Amino acid sequence: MSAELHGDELIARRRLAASAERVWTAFTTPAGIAAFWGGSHATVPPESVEVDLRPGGEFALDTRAPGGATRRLRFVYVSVVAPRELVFDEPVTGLRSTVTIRPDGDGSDLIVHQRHLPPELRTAQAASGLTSILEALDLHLGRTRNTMWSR
Amino acid sequence: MTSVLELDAAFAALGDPVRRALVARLARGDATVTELAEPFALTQQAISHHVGVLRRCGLVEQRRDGASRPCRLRADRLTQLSTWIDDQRRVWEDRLDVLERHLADDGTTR
Repeated sequence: MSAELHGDELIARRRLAASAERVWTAFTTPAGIAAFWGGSHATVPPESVEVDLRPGGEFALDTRAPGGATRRLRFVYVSVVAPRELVFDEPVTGLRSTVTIRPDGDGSDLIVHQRHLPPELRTAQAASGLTSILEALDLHLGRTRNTMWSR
Repeated sequence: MTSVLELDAAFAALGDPVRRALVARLARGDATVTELAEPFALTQQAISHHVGVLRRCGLVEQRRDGASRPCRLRADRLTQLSTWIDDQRRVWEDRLDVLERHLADDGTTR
């Protein structure tokens, strides 16, 4: 599966001073995921991370905010091609992420693409979740419709 | 109401270079299909098809102005898409900052 998919958005690209194998381990092991998935604003307890590394398998983790609020995140693997490409869906938001790791000299080049799931792959629950997020965004933007325009 | 299908369709529509160029043109002001077709080596029929795709995903709207039907870019939809993407980029950039530090620390202990 190629990361250069129709309609994909390039989200992040980073050159890392680590081999593709080490980056892959960070993305696919409980200890690795716990070390970075929460970013700088949340922690991920290592014991909360579950990884079933196969297409159709899940990985799940808890993110803990500084105030103590904990949120369970769950993802479903679509494609697992060690040590160079990982594709996973987030059912709640309807996002598909493709992480590509390319060896680059003594390091590696990491690329993250995202796109929204094709409708036929989306559950009603996920669709309503994304819709509510977008409705909130609509309210935030204070969108108004001009009725003289047809759509 | 913004639907999930419209969001999906908008991302997919912008994957096409001609449609991205049409959006860029409309960002400078309203234009008819005839005006939109001018810079392209495409028929008006082909441009109409692309405009139709952009309309169906909510990125473009058309109004009747006598005999012509000028197109207008819906900047609010583009803002929605870019906000969504920007949020994701911020999350991932932060995540990769931490990953980079983790790999550096992990490397020194090997």
